[in-house]
Amino acid sequence: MEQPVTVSSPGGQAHSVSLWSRIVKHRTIYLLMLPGLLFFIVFKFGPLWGLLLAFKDYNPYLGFAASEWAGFDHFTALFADPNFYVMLRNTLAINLLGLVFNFPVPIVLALMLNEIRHETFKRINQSIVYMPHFLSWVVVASMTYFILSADVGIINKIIVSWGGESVSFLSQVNYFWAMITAQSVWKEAGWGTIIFLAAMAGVDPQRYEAAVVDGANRWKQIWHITLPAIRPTIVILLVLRLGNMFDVGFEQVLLMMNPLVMSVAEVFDTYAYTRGILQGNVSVGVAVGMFKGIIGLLLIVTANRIVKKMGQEGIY
Amino acid sequence: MSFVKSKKPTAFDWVNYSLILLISLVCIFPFLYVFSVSFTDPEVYVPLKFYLFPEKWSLDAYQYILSTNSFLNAFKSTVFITVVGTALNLIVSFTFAYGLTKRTLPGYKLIMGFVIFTLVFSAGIVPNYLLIRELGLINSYWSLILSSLTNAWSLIIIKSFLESLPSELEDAAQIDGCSDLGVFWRIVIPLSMPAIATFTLFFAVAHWNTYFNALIYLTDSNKWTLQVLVKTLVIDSNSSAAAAAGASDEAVMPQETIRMASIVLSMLPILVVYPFLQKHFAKGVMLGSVKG
Amino acid sequence: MGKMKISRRKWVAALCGAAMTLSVLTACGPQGGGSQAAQSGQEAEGPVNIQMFAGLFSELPDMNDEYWSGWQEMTNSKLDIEWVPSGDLNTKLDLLLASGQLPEVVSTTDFTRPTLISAIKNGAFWDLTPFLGDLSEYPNLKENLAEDALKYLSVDGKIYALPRSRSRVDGGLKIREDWLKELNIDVPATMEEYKDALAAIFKAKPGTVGHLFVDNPTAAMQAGFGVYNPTYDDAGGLVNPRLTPQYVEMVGFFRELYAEGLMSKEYAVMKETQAEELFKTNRAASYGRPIWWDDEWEKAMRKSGEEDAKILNLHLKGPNGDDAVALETGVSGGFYISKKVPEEKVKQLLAYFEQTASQELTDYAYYGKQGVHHTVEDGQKVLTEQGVKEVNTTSKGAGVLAYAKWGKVISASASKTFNDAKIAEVEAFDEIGKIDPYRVVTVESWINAWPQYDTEYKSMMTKAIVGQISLEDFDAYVAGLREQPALKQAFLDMAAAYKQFQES
Repeated sequence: MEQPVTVSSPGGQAHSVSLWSRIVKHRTIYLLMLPGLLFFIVFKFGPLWGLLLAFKDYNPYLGFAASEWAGFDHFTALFADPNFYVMLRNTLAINLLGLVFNFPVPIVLALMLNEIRHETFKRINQSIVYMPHFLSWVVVASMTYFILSADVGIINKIIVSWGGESVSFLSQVNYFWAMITAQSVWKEAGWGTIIFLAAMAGVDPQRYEAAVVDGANRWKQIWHITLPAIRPTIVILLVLRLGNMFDVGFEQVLLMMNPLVMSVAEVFDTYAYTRGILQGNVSVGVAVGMFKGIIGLLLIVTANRIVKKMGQEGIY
Repeated sequence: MSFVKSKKPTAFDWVNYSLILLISLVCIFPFLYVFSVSFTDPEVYVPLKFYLFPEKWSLDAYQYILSTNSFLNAFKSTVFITVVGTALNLIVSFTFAYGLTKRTLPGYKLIMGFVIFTLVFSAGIVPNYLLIRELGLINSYWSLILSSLTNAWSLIIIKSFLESLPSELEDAAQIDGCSDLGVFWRIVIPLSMPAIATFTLFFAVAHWNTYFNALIYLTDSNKWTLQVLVKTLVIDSNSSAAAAAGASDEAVMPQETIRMASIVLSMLPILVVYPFLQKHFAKGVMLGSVKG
Repeated sequence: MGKMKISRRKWVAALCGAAMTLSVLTACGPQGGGSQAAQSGQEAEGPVNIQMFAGLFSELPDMNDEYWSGWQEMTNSKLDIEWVPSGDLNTKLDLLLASGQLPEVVSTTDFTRPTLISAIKNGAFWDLTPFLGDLSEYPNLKENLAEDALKYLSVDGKIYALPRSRSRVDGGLKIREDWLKELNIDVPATMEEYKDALAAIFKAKPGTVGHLFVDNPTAAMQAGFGVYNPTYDDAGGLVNPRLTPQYVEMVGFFRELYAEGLMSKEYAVMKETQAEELFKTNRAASYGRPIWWDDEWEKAMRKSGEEDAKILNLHLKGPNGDDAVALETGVSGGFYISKKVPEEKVKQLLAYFEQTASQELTDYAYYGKQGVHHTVEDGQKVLTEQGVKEVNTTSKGAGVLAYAKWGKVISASASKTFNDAKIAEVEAFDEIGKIDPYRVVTVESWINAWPQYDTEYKSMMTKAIVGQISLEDFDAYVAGLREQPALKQAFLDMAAAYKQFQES
């Protein structure tokens, strides 16, 4: 595959000619990529100057140029915030739980759906598990209240009717992360199966038939045929997920947050939201975003390297 | 597919079917409430009461939403954005991702590096808004379509899908004298139907539910999309933004029936589009499409 | 194709515009408009075009409906309003400021927002002081505004906006009067009696929540404990209400309520809608919310099975004799005029706003056209079906409006008897109520310093109420905050700003 000419050939002339000829050879590919390239240049590269706002005291009315430079002030303020380590811990805890639960559940669910032979039953259930994705967090939060609260919650009514003491699930520090995780699993697991189901659709049915002939049971078929087929997809999604290790859906957290669980609920995204959007301090929001981005980039690059070492196709 | 049907259900099947049924129940339960309340007569609706069936059927909530000023406009423009936007999303994403599968392409590293950069860094609201304004797209539906033509996350997944296609077919086609374009159109696209179906769903749902961009880029309220319009019907004193803006005191309390009807509306595209896409998620569909 | 569409649209717009000017020109003669408008003498050139940015609090209005065509006809204006759903008003305003393309008039509900203040200080909006002068040319603005209205909208002593007038009497501490009667409890007049009343209700109706509050203690309670009385520290700084000793005392009171089971066990978790639902479904005894919802809420309570439901707004006295009644500022944000507007146009815009402060237009904003939006039944205007649809919060959003003392007490859906009784019930509120001094003025040092303490503070307050920490701990914590240098400085700045406000 490798073209020998490209590797540090002595004459620069030869190099450029070969590069040019390779470009010409791929001209159709470039043509295909043109719309996407243009999009990236105009809509993604164009506004990137906005990242510099992290180093300014941006005043919307004065504009970029007239706003004063702030240097690393917003970053030092973030790091010096007495809550920094609390936010770090909470962000990581919620994301690690997400990695352990939110990530695998859709895979398992997709495998289960894939094993259903009755077509109509499969289609109906597939549609049903997508539905929670369409509820807004506001609705999910009020449903959670309806189920778990100590005053009107269904669960507590059951506990009390059995002679137990009602439990304040929503205002106790110990339950918060679990609750956030459970909510996300419920809302997004079904929707998350789509990609895996699409990957499974690529498996040649003849392989299953051959396996049956060889006497492989269902577990073996899943383990030796289906899972390897979706492995590249799992790896890619995992690497991409790592890039978001510092993101926590702030809307969900803000809605479930209350003064008694503040110590486990405050995350970087809520910080960015209150300072950046509510108080109109654009620069702080950008600085937090940049901080999260740098960590995300590091994680993606590292993960991709590890994945490649393990013999998988990375994301690049 | 027929080979499996003849089999008798095993213990594995029983467990699997029951589990799926249980999960579906957990997922659908709240929607029974959502649907029932949306069809309940607002006159008899009582908060903090669980409805499995409407006590008194009524289409009031839907009629109210439909009778809203410029609902028809909003509906039409949202359909336009969804259809045109999704089509362009698919074209741009799949062509670009196909190029990204060529890892020996000159400039590959540069382009890929940039795509990954945009995955984790975004410029933020203000620069994006100023860009749209510079391009003269303020108040145009194209601002919504063009600013979301594709995204790094989708590209990387589509690229991985395309890379997992059997390369023999491509090679064979090339030997048969197919051009790059021919290979893309005749081999890659037909083989990618599951991925296309998946992303049709993703893109369509995203366009249908677009709210924030529509809010900031469209200044003329007659051009609003469905979600912006619906949001004004259900301004929620629970939403943190509204509360922080001190708006909740002035905001009119929404009726629960209308709020629930608006949720049903937001699910419309999946209810309409999904049945057509579903066959592409079936086992072994990919090879079938090539052979057929 | 896109281009063609656009150009065609422009063409149509131009045609429409021409047609409209024509029709307006021909209609100009007999059109009387408001009598005041005629006096201001700016009539000759036809309607004033006004470009405005404003918040939307209900469904999107149709600017050509009966209400809005009437409004534009009466004010001889042609309004071009960009409506923004209220929850995202501030975000959008920041973007408009950033893009430098402000519409002629910006209407906002939050006159202390930092980005707005900084834009004002950097010259984004006209200083209206020289135009308004001694207000002799603006009789409505002179006579019809709430107390101090223009002062609230001043920055560094200069007036930058005209108010969106709303009534000062707004919230009330409600209690279920029917339950008091049922249990033979006298209407409580002090905090202690209030507590006893709740305890009696709780005993008779197990499972009911006594006092409901969400996020922040009910303003009326704060007023009752003297939290809103300006309190100064040793250095002469104006202490934030939350950090006063009175506030700690109030927290102590809530702590007792909580310990006796008279507050929702998880009140801290509750959101406003959930609390409202509890109250509306007869599951809570007392709650602080706007007075004008009483009629609607009583109807909801009846629907949930209590035929005699009756809400009473309490007038309690605090432990030190303070009246437990809180007031709004009477100014719900204002109308700012962009500096890009030429001076001549500023005068026209002011004439428009002057006119919208008249009694005539205020009545129209509240009730619309007689026979169309309302009918008169035993001396009271009652909104018709069309009135309910077209006359709402949003429809009051395009003008200053005269100050209506009972604007937020009178319910459009209630009978005259009900409203008259309600007014009698809260008759004294406007005189005795208190306003949070930190809502009157604001300073940058406070805005910058407070956020980093805010979450911790809220959590400490809640812990003190639910008994996770002692009241002494909370007291010590608050005293410690009062000594933080950044906050101390903010107190001093606030004291200066407050003094300037009172003296101006």
